Amino acid sequence: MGKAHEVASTSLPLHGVRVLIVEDDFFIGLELNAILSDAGAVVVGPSQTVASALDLADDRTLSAAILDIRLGDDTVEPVARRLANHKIPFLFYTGQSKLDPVRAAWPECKIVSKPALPAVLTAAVASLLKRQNKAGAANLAS
Amino acid sequence: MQVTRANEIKDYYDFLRENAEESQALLGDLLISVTTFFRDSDVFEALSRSVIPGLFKDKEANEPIRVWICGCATGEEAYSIAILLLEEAARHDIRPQIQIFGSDLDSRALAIAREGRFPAAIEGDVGEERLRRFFVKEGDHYRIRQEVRDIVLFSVHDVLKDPPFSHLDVISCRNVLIYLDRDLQEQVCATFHYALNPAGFLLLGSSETADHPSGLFRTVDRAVRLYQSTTQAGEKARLVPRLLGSVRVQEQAPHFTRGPGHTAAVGEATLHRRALEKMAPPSVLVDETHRILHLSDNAGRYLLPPGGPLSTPIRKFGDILLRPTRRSEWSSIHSSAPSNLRNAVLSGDVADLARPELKFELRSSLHRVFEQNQSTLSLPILVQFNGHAHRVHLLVRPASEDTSPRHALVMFVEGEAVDEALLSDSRPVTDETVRRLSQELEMTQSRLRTVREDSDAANEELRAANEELQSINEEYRSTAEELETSKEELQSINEELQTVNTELKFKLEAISRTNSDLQNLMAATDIGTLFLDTGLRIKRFTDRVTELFSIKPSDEGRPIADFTHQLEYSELIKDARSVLSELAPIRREIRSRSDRWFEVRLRPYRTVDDRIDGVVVTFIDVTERRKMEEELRQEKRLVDLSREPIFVWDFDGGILEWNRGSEELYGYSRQEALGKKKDRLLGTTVSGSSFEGLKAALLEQGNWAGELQQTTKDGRHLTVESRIELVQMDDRRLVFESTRDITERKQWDERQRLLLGELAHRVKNTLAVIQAIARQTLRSSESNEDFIEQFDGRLAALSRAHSLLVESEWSGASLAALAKQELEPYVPGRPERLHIEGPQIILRPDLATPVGLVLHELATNSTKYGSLSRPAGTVSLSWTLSVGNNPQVLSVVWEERGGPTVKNPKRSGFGSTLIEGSIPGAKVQREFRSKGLFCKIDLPLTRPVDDGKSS
Repeated sequence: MGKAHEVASTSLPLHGVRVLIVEDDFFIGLELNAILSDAGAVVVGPSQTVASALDLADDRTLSAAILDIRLGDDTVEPVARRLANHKIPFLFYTGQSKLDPVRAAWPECKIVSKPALPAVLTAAVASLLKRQNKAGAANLAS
Repeated sequence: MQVTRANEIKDYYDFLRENAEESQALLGDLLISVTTFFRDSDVFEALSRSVIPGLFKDKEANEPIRVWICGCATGEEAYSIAILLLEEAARHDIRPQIQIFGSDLDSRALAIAREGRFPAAIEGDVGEERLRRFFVKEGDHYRIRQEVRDIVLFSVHDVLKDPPFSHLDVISCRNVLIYLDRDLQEQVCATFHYALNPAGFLLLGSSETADHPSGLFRTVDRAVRLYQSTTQAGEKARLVPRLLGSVRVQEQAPHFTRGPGHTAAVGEATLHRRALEKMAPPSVLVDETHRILHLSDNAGRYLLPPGGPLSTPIRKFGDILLRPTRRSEWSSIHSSAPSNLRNAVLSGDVADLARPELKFELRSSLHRVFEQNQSTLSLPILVQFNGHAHRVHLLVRPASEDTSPRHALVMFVEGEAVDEALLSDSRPVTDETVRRLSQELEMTQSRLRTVREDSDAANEELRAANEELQSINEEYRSTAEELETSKEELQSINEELQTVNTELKFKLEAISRTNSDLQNLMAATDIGTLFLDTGLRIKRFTDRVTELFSIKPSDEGRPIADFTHQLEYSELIKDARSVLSELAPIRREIRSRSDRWFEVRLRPYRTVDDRIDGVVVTFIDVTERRKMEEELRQEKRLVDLSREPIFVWDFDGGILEWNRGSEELYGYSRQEALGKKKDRLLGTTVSGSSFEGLKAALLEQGNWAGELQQTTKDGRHLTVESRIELVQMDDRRLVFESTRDITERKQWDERQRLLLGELAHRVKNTLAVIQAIARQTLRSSESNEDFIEQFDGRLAALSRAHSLLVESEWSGASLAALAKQELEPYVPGRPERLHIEGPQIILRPDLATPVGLVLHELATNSTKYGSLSRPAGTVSLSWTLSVGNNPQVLSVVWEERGGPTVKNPKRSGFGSTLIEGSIPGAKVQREFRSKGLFCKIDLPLTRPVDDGKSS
């Protein structure tokens, strides 16, 4: 799909930020796309399968990612690992309980529970970026 | 000899002389104490036939019958004869006093004889009749009855040395003489002859005789060696023979010189001495006591042994006999040959032996020699030799100059024969006075001779009396000894009685204590006990018995069969009899009329000496026990019936109990489980702990409850809820465990938890989908009404798809059903406007929902703009399944007819996005044809291999 909204302003919270969306449900992916686009982000995806998501995850221009944990019968774990390798911050947008093994495997990772208000999601992605920037700055400083 | 290492008899003899102990030992060896009752039965038959009746016949009532058993050893023979005598006495009216002397050298044998206790083996020697009459059985011994014992005296006596018993009727000396040499045998025979009453009997052993010295005994029965004294009643003047004992003191006297005849050497000096001896006057050497020490060859001529009864020659010679050591000497004396006299070693008062004419002169001369040490030559003495008178001078002088030992030599100097007549004639009495004096002298001399003869006779008699007294003394001594022995016996019996008495006292105390114990036991015991005798009469019973039998203490001795009882036990008497006959205990459980139960035990009453003396019946109330047993049985049955596994195991060992519930749950049968270690059999693990930890907790708290993992016989893993209790029973620790299988519940719980998680997830997801649909709908709505209408429609479509999935438990939805549900609401009452056709296809849940939504969008659009907006418009929905492709592809075709001409919409709204993109992996092709909309959706049915270009 990859259709960017015409409304773009530098004042938007996610202005120009490339965000990967991995979500197997068409409608939720559509809505996420809309929310992030509304916030000024450039959406990559939404990807509905692990295979396609892994391809997209290799995009080094990505700033962040929103991952659904379960994709059909698969889990998003390989994508999460790939992103972590690329030091791309991500958050889980999921309806899974806390006992879910993937959630347990990434205890540090930010979780946004389904369904969420658009503002919450936007803020969560923004905080990811902020954290990433801090770490990046720290890296640069060192 | 070997013991004393003596090589020759002589050495041993010397050793014996010096060593008193050895001589005692030798004596002990030589004394042979072999004897039995009635040894040689024919001897005793002869005795009882030819001797004993005579004894009784001749006796006066107060005259005792006296018998001497010489060498009686352990007394059997003495008792045998005593028995014979007593038997004979029983046949006579008068019962003379019977006295039997048993003598032996061996004091040990006599001790046995005195005790009169003989082993049972004598049964063979003594007839049954006599055994009963004269013996008392004491265990395995027989004791001679007191009646017999009283008439027998035993004493230590040496027939060779000690004076004999006297006035005997019978002497039995069997198998004693064979151990003596001939000389001693003759001495003993003489002794016996002396000891016997006139015509008394002597019994000897089978190889012994009383023929020597001859004339003392005559043979009565040679076969049994029975002899009778030749002395007739009324004969007197018997002399006791010399005994070895009386001369012992002289044994050490110096040996006498032997006659020259024994000297082989013949020198001139000897020749001279012989000539002298032959020529010299006959002489006699005497010692201080006037005993003849030696006679010259021809001195016998002047000796004339005094006269006496011819039947007692030995006594006469015995009187002068010192040592009859050799047979030759004995015979020489016996033959009285003067030529042989010199060879005899003689002793005796020479004055007694000398011819009467010489006696007086000889005695006075000897006296003078020894008193005054003066030689004397007597005046001629007329001595009659063979009717001729000879003048004989006696020359008596000391034999040597030495003062001690003093011997005197008596020489007889004989003149020519003198004619007596000539003598008297040639010497006529010249003087009357002398004649008268001479006559007077002769008278006096003859009176003197008479007096002397009288004196001699009196002397002889006195001696005999003395000897007799000595015998009597001996007898008294024996009696005293016997009395002493009896006294000792009495003392020891007394001692024994005292011991027995003390023992009895102790026993009595013990018995009374036992009795009081028994009384207390009977009173205290709660068990009914009934003692019956062999006739089943009541002997004793405890109080509890009275509750069952109507008996009182006064009923003791009455038969138990006479009493009624409370038991349903009619065989009581029969059982009791059977116990008495079979001696096997009987045990029964019997109910009483009051509905109580008793265990009745009957067992034989055994006395301490193992005799059966009745029956002991015990009644034990077992009502409680039976009740408990019954309860226990019920409980066991319950446990067994229970479906719950219940089992018991030893804390330190294996499984002890295993009910049916356990068998069912774990698959192990009772036999398989018993004895096995519980944790190993069931592979028990404890979640969060260990089996050892469980055991430790058990020890600490006594019980434990919780979940355990266990494995069944067929390998299933179970989770059980277990309750365990540790119970200390005596020295064992038993563990009671009951478990409940909660495996399924556990699995359910888990499934439920998963389901709940899934539900939460799905609800959240669905909410997120609805949220997205709402927002997307809102974005493309022109008004609120428009939003509500579109959103309601989409929500309803979503709901219908979910309904179908729920019906199939979320396994999938039939495409036909889905299409009908989604589309029919748009053609209310006119189903013919819809044409649905295709093979049966079940859509996966993740496909069913979007497909439903897409069909809803198509139908909505058609109602607004397409064929369904016209009354005659129709919709056809058909699908096919591609064949051979992998994955299979479902092709769904939507075709509208009879509607207005449709155009491609200017703006692509949410509806279009939904139709084209919402079905994952599907390819959607839409054509706005003049006849109406044509839409084809190609859908891979298995999850497509994602090529990464899904968009």
